[in-house]
Amino acid sequence: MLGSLVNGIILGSIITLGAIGVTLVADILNFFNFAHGAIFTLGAYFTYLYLNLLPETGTMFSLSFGPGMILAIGLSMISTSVVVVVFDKIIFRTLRRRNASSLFLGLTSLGLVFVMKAGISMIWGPQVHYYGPIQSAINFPLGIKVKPDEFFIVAASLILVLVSYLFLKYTRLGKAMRATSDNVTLARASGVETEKIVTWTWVMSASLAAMGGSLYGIEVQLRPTMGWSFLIPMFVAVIVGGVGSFGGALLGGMIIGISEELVTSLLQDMFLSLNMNVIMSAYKPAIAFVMVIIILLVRPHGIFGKKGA
Amino acid sequence: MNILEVEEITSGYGSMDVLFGVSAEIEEEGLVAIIGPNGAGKSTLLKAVVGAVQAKKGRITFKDQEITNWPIEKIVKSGLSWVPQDDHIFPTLSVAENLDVGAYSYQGNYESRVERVWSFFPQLKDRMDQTAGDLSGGQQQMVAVGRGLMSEPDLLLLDEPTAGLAPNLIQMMYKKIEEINESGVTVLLVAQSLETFRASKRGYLLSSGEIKYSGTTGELLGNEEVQDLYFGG
Repeated sequence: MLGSLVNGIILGSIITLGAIGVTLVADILNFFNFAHGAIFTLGAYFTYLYLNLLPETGTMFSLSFGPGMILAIGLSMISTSVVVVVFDKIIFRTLRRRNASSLFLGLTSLGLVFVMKAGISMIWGPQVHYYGPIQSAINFPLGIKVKPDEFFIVAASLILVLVSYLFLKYTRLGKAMRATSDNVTLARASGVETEKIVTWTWVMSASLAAMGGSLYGIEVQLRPTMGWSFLIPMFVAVIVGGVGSFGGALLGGMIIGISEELVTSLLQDMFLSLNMNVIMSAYKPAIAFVMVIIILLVRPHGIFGKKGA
Repeated sequence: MNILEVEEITSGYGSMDVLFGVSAEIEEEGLVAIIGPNGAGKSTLLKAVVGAVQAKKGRITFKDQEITNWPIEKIVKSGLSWVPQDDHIFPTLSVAENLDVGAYSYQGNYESRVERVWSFFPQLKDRMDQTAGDLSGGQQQMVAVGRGLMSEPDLLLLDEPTAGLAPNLIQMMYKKIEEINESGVTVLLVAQSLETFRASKRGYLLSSGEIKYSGTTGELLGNEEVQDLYFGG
């Protein structure tokens, strides 16, 4: 039970990184970016690329990697942002100028998923890759098993979430991003160049996704479809927390991560006690959707959502 | 000397025109009101000036520079500020953040800009950390005008700044508008109430997208046809 809670926090912290990016794009650009999972995957692969290009840096503390991993993730965040901004300039900006609807923008992003997935498969191949050897878990009291890398994953996620919050709350650009999300015409009438805000929204969203993908890559094998399976939890986290809410994305990510792990574990134990052979991990997305339905029945705009969002 | 000249502007939304060859001149440091019945095109005229809607024909000159169909961001940076009638604040941002965004294009002198807003609206001083969307209608209007002043504009466009306010707040708001004007800011406002119109020095009566009458406030108030058209006789 406590082990599942810990796994849920690890999963939730990665979902949160993705969910913040999804909610930023949904709020400022006014569409659900289905390509966010593919951006997540691209970030993981860029980190793999840089890990292989950079000199070996050994390991640090009890982690399975050294400072090279942190540098590789940083370079991956930059590279992923550049790719995504180029996609925006070529595709989404053109559509915005033609007053494309949110539905059309969303469908275009869905098309981009397949382009990106094909591109990743062509460059890195369809086979799985690993950042390094799989690390053994350390046993803690009450049956909790945690790998040292997982402490890094949670800490790095929380630090990035905090930095993102402080950026949006206190910087001039962050305030302009929130103002644009509130009222784009008034933001423009205040001198905010909203196309620049759009670019910075993509940069922030892509950086967080790249970080999330890279941290997930520490835990699992890299596959061209790895982000696709994360897309539903990320979207669900945004809907549960409330579209456009930073706190909602954080809380939603944690709720989905923890509930998926906890409920899966509880149901698995229950089926085992009934001698029923059901593999509950296959039903995680269903658990996420049940959470959405329950929360939206009580709070139709999500936990922190704005009315009309 | 005119700070703003609008010449034969035709504008509207999509294929529907709302303004038909509208011309107006705003003197520097003037306080000019646009009056007219609902749907006359008053708000559209302000939007055309600030670039929020496209002018299909005509020419707009601000401080001797043609600004017709410039991007809205560029127009406001040239010294013009617009406070729309609806959606005039950033509701999820605090009062302080609304003012910050109002000064977005202007680095420096932040403290003096805020002090100036407080001098007109001291009520805001104690509410700087409050979320703007949680304020009363009158307080939101103060935030809206305060945001507009943060760029230290030469010309302030106010779209029905007293709409939806209680009578005592209407009195207060038009006095504030007079004070703002007396501080050296040219004001062009869409006037909804007679009190606000009386506070102005000149006026234009807009009806069905055309200027029907213009003159001093006294002249317009004394004109029987204006009385019939706008004040209901």
